[in-house]
Order: sequence, then structure tokens, then C-alpha cells
Amino acid sequence: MNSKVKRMISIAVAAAAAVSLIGGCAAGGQNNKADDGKTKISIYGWPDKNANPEGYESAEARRVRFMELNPDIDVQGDQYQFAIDSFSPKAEGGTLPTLYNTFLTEMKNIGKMGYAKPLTQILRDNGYYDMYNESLIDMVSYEGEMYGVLKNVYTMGLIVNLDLFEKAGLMNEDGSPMVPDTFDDVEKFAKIIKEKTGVAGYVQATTSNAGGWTFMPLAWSYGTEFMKENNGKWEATFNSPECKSALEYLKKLKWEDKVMPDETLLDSNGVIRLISTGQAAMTILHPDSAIILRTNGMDINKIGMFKIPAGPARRVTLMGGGVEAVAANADDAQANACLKWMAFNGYSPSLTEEQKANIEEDYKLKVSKGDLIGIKDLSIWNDKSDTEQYTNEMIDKYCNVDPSHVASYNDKSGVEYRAEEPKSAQELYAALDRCIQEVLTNENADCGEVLKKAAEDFQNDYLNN
Amino acid sequence: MKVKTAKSLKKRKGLVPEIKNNMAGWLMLLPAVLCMYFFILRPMIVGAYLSFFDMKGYTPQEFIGLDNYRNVISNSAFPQTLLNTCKYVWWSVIIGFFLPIILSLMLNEMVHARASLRFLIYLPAVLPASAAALLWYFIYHPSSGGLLNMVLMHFGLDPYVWLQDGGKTILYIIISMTWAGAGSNVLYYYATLQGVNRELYEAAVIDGCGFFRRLKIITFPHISGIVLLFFVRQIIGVFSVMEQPMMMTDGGPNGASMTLGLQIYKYAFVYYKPQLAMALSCILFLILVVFTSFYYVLDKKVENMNG
Repeated sequence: MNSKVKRMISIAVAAAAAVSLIGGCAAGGQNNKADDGKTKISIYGWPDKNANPEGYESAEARRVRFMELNPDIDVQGDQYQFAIDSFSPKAEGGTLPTLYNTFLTEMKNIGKMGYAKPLTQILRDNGYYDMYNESLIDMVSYEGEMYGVLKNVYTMGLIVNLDLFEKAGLMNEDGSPMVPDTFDDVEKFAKIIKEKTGVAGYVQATTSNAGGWTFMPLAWSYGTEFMKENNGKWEATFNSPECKSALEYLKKLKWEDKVMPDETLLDSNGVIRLISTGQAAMTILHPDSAIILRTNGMDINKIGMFKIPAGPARRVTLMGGGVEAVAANADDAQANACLKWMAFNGYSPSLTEEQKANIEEDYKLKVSKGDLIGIKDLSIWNDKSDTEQYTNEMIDKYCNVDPSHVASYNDKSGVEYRAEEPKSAQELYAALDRCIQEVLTNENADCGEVLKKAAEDFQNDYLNN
Repeated sequence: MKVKTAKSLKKRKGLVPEIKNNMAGWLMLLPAVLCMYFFILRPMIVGAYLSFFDMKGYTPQEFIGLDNYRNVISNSAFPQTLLNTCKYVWWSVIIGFFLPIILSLMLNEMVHARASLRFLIYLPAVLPASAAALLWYFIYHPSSGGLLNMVLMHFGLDPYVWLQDGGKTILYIIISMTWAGAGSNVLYYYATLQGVNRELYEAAVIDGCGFFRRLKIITFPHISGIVLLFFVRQIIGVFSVMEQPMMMTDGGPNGASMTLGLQIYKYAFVYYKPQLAMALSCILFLILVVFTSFYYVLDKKVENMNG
């Protein structure tokens, strides 16, 4: 190849690269209007026709009914469900469904990245905003703007394998489980289970940021404060005796009581696997995980969900939840159409008969699939709403487990609820993951030193930057 | 000015016939060039460009010079992550590099069951890396149900924590990678060994050379080119390792098996900081450029030797 040709190729490649740089900045757009001029929206999580024919038929019937009632809206199903590794590419490529699902833990980042349409004004115009439980609005907001709407709010609790409770003699005569009220009780229960069954009494998630995430209620209950604002600057404050005690609690369970499993590097799915297969009895997780246990083949009558145990300082837990958001490139008409779709499915502070019928149909479908019904979440609506009452009626009506198995979790009294820490929450969880891993894999680890380094690194890496 | 115009005209005149004469060749090259451009060159250029910007999502907001690089390098986990990555390379050279050579020499010398052994050695290579990682996760399982622990317990020894032993996690991951990846390297070495003229060995045997002498004077000179080539390839491949630590340890315990590749993934997809992922990718790229340069020099050398 002579130099002329080489030069030509270089110029062509450079020009193409320059064009692609410009092109690379442009995201794809939503197809806002159908050919017939209707407002077109796509909805996440549409059931697969072959894998879930019953769910698909139900969703299709509902779609047709909705379009009859709203002839100016065209609804299409999209099977996409939020996943951490596919979300950013889809958001950047403009290929998210118009209405997509995500989780509370992602909302600050989604707002910061501009991956969702700001909804505050639309929610005000629709009368939703004033009906929300005020304390929850901030959790889906970034810089004062709501980027999503909470679909449900749950709190961390204690998930247990009741089969192991039975074998360890931790059931009352009336068939209800004994509930550990404090973290000291959890330790006692774990020891009894280990002694009677030989199985780990307690398991702690440690990887994929799940370790830090599930450590929060434990640490708070010991009195830990993770960070504080001082003259506009944030300071990491978890290098404290309180946090050290919480970490030492886990260390004691692992090395002194020997009630934790040999397998230490576990994410949430790993923990769920151990609980559902009877290799561990208790863990801190959210109620959705209790429902997932069933999909691992666990008998729903052997699943228990208890309220978070109390620590030496208080009984406090972390809130989480499912969120629905509208794609950033959707227009107002599409956002309003999405809200109408959500309302049609029961997302509304006040329910019409048709909305009630749809909610009931959802519960019937869940029961037919064998999902665990009986766990009650916090309400996303304020006192003026009757939705929570109706939803709870449906849960009672279709409850398919012994209510005593979830009664402790459903009793919200005495529990303090907290949102995620305000700054770099995911990075904080990662830092705590490492602390927990160190303590649970190294018998000689000094909890104080581990936390000191973690707090210093977190301060330098995230709070000072 | 006049001269320049004439010169450029002449150039243009020469260019078109050049393409016309080799049109079929250019057209055949086109799909590969387009693929290279869209899947390799363009992402690299865009990534390097965006690493100098503060970003909202993947949209550049403000040029911030080297701030992303400073941010990545000054992160408290960076030194350990870089060191870990070097440890991966070190162990992969010690274990993953020599083992295929030894296996291929063994295969070459074998008279019986050669085909079966070749099949067995290559078999793990058909597994996707993630499946192999998952398989080894359970082989290394720290409970009494882990395969290796079952073996230990059979001999009356206590179960061992394997991947949870932070000091040796990387070594164990490299063993699993070697198991999964050695097969294809063995085939390359073996093919090269098969190309060595058998008469040379026969002559050496007649001259009274033993196995190791034959190895020294005949085998090694013939395979030294490809060995050097695979040495550099090994380093390049392992330097960007991500899947195995992600599947087996998530970089733990306490960051003991974290790699630059896994950190890039986390920046991009877990922490929504693609600008830091791109900056770290550029750092990794620069490190690999050095090794790749060696690779091309060696590749040329091997080509010349074979030619």
C-alpha cells in the first residue's frame, strides 16, 4: 500500500471519527405519536406470551380495555425490566420503555444523570403531588424535582426460614413463630438454631453493595451516624464506637458464636439461596426478597417476615421501594398517558370501581402464580387516601400464608424509618461491604482499625470530591 | 501555489486508479474495516475524548481537563487495584503461561491416547468464561460441600476457605482461568510442535541426545517465536480481566481480588460515573499499548522466522 492510499484511509477514518463524535452525543428519541396521531406509550415488564401466557392474556385484556377508555392513547407492552447493567445503555440509546421501573436506591443517580423526565409539575397538575406521603417525596427527588413515583415502599426486616425455626423449637404452641425482638435475641436464636439443626442461624450479605445496604439498620440501631453536614461540607462520622459495636456484633456471630455459614462472599441472591435451601435461618433483607424465596422452590408457609430487631440505641430500619419513572425523552402528553395507565391499574390516591377491580385481579393472578400474599408495605399516600385501606383489604382477603408468619413485620409500631444516607450512598455501601468482608474473613481483624480506614477513604474519595 | 495544485492533482490522479485496480480487495476489506471502526476505533476515540469531560449520563457537560484522571488515580482503592491486576498477570505468567507449553510437549511426545488427552485438555475451552467461573466458584466453595473441601476432608483435613483467603484469592482465580483457557493455547503450541521436522529428532536420537537435550536444541528454537508471542498475549489478556473476579468474588474479600477491568465496570454501571470509567479505561489502554507494541514487534519477528 503506498503512502497516498494510507493517507486517504487516515483522512477517511479521521473524518468518520469526527462525525461519530458529534453523532455520539445525540440520543435516540421516543416515538411520541402513533401513525393515527394517538399518544404512543410503551410499558415495562410486559409478560412474555410463551413463558407466562396467563399474565400475557391478562395484560393484553387490560391494555385493550384501557385503550377503549382512552382512545387517544396507544399502549404497547415492553418486556424490559430494570437491570443495573442494561439500564444506562438503554437510557443513553433512548430505547427505554416510556414507563419503566427502577428502585429507590437508583433514584438520586437517575435524577442526576437526567435519565428520567421531571414529573413534579405534571404530578401537581394531576392532583397527585398533594396526596403523597410527604416524607417519601424527597426519596424520588433530585435537587427538588421528582424524577419518579413510588410504586410501593418497603422496609428492611428479618427474613426467616420457619422450617429451621420449627426444627430448633422456636415456634409457639399455636403455630406462630417466636420473634426475636432485639439483635441480642437474634444472636440467641441463631445459637439455638445452630445447636439444634447444625445450620447457620444467621447470614449476612457482603458483596455487590448489599452488605453495606443491609448493615445500615444494624448500625443505626447501635446509634451509628454515618455522616453529618457541617457548614456545607460533609463529614464521614462512622469511625465511631457505635459503628464499631455493630461490626463487632457481626464478628462475634461469625467467629465466637460460629452461627454464620462458611460461605462469606454473598450478594443478596446468594443470601436468598441459602435461606431458601435451608442452609441459613435468618437475614436482614426487604420483603421482596421474601417473595423471591418462593421462586427458589421454598414453601411459602415456611417463609417468615419479622420487623427489624431493636438495637441498644433504637429500633430503626431502612426504607426501600419500587419506583416507576418516565423516559427522559417522553413529552408531557406521554407522561400524562403513563400516569393514566398507572391510575387505571390502581395507582391512585382514590379508587374507582374499575381500579379496584384491576387491583383485585392483580392479587388473584399473584395467588394463582403462588406468590406470597400477606406482607403489608408502608403507604405511599397520605391520610386522605383510601387506597392503602383497600389494598390491605385485598392482602387480607387473598393472604395465602399463616398471618402470624408475617404479623411482626406488618405491625409497624415502634419502628423508626430512615431513608438512604444523603451523600454517595452506593459508595458508602461498597466501603461497608469491604469492612464486613474483612471482619468475616479475618478472625483477627480489628473492627476499629477497619472502620477508621474505611471512614478516611470514604471522606477523601467521595465527600471531599 | 501553482506547483502545490499540480502536485495535489497528480496525487488525486494516482489515487483513483489505485482503488479501481484493487476494487475487489478494497470491497472485501470494507466489512472488516467498518466493524473495526464501529466496534473498536470509534468507541476508543469517543471514550478518550469524553474522559476529559464532566458528564451527565454520557453527555459531556464541561471540559475539565485531567480531573477525571486525578479522581481515578487519587482514589484510595486505585493502588491496590493496580497492584492486584499486576498480581493477576504475575500468577497467570507463572501458572497459565508455562502449563500449556508443558502440556503441548507432553502431547507431542505421547504415543498412546494422544487424541483423547487432546480432547480432554481442550474441553474446558468450549465453556463460556462466566460458566467456567461459576463452576470453579462451587469447586472452591468454602463449605464442606465444596469439591476441593470434599477431597481435603476425605484425607482427614479441615475444610479450607479458598477464595475467602484474601492473600491467595488471585492465585485461585488464575488457576480457574488457566483451566478454562489453557486448552486453546495448547492447540497452538501443539500445532507448532507438529510442524517440526521429525527427521531432526530422529537424527538427534541417533546422535545419542536424550529428551531434555532434544528439547533444548530442536524443540525450543522452533517454538520460541510463538512462545514469546503468547507470553505478551497472556499479559494483555489478563491485564483487562473482569468476568472471573466479578463472578467469583466481586473483587473481595476487602478488595483483595479487585481488578482495573472490574473497577471500570463498577464506575460505568453501578456508580453511574462513565467519565471515570473512560478515564480508567484510557489508563488501562496506555498500559496495554506498551505490551501491544511488544506484541507487534514479536509478531513480526515470528512472521519473519516462519517466512
